Amino acid sequence: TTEAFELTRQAFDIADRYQVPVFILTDQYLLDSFFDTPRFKIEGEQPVNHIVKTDADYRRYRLSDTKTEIDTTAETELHPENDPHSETDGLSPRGIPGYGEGRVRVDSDEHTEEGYITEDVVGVRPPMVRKRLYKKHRLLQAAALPPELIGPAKYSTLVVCWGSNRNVAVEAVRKIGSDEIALLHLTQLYPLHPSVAEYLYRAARTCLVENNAGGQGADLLHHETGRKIDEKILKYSGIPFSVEELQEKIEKIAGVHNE
Amino acid sequence: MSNISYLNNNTEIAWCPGCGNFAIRKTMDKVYQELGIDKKKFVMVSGIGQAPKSPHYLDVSFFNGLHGRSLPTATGIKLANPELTVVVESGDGNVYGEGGNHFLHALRRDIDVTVIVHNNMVYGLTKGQASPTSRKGFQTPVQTTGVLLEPFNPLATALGLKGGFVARANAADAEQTKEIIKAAIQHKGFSLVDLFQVCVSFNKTNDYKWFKDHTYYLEDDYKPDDRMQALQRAMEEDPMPLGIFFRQENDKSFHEKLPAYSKDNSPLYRRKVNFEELNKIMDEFV
Repeated sequence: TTEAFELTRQAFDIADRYQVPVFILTDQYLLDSFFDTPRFKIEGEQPVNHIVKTDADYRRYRLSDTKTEIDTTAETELHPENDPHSETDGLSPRGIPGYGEGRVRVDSDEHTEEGYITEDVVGVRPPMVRKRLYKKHRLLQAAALPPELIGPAKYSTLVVCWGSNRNVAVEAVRKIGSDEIALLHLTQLYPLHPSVAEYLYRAARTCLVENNAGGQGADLLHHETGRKIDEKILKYSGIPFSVEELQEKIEKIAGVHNE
Repeated sequence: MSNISYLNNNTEIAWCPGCGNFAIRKTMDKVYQELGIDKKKFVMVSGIGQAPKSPHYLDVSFFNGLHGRSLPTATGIKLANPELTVVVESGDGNVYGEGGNHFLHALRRDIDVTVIVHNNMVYGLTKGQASPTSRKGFQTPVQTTGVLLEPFNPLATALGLKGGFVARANAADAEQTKEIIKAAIQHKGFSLVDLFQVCVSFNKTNDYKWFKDHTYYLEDDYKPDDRMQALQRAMEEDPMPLGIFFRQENDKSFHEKLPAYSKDNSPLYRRKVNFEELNKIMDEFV
């Protein structure tokens, strides 16, 4: 529960800092559940609003501080994320109307640094795409939230879950109490923290727990890490997992024998 | 009153020669000058279309977003910072079609924005499909046998939803249009101006002559304080009245009714978290 509160706070900060939409994945199961939770502290620094005061010559979609000739070299085409002609980190400082001297022009069509619609497919569009996609993606990956490993560090079977399944999966894995079985709870699904791949590759056997028929979480993990997920525990009746049900299924996969 | 220009010549104007938007652009320049609009506290919001390009050609801050979504964006901008004056310029397809749902609920909110709908009875940007306000029988490359649907009546809809400022203008009449739009911006609450204009490239039916023949101005002694009367006039189909049909302000703007603005009227970005208060609330659950 504390995680739900804290992650939500972080989600807003990520959205503001990196200027991207952030999806907080809740579901009816989480929102219908009641929890007892210790009184956690709400304190700390004031949130940063990541807004700049605009100068008279403010450009909302600034590519870089220095006006260099836009010129696509072969090197940039091979490594678009290293494009020297746009902001190193893919972020143009965000100004808002009413705070400063400048005009803030925001557009949904492709646009120049000043925010005007452009049809310049040579000089403007490619560097803008490189800034928004290749460069920012690197930034978002570096800022990804790490997963949580519950259980033995030297596991051979790794159960993977995300979202509202955390508590039921933790309880199931603890009840099994095997020093071969651990649980990896993914706090952030995309972009994935680099440790997720490490945890997956260390397992002899991986198993994903999800409430759907397609097991798309496994596809995502495979796509992003290259590690194919060995087993899937899927429930698609619309009802959440029970601890006993999940425990039974995990034991079966891990080959644990019940006395 | 200011004597600085609100025109922006920093970018090439991407409208057809003869487009009705040119006259509207000149009118808006005069409107903003006569009202003395502070450029630093002003935002124009638009969706997608030819009309939504208007803010690009004026010296203003703007949010030119997605088709149909001018109103939700304008709502967000106004609520985040009520110190800003917010004007929406978009086309009839954008506001009454794709954005129809938002139109209904923005009226219910009575959010303090001014909505100027460039109504040329066609989808111009996409080259000539019928729009929500196209007349029955209007022929296009898509509606090859003529439009079968009843045209959307924005004024009647707005009046039925208790809209506080409902007006219609003809862009060809620059002086009257300027006065109507000025009144709309000064109105506290949601104001709608359905602004007839021509599309010289893709609507050869509803040209300057057609609009002149099928409209007339409300009488000089018409009083815009009777909603039922206004509704009756708004249902007139041919000719259609022009002018301010109805005007009545509520004492509180939408944002003034919200808890967030009940004790503090500063814009959200300047606010600080009150940890003491938050912790007090948390303690109530222990």
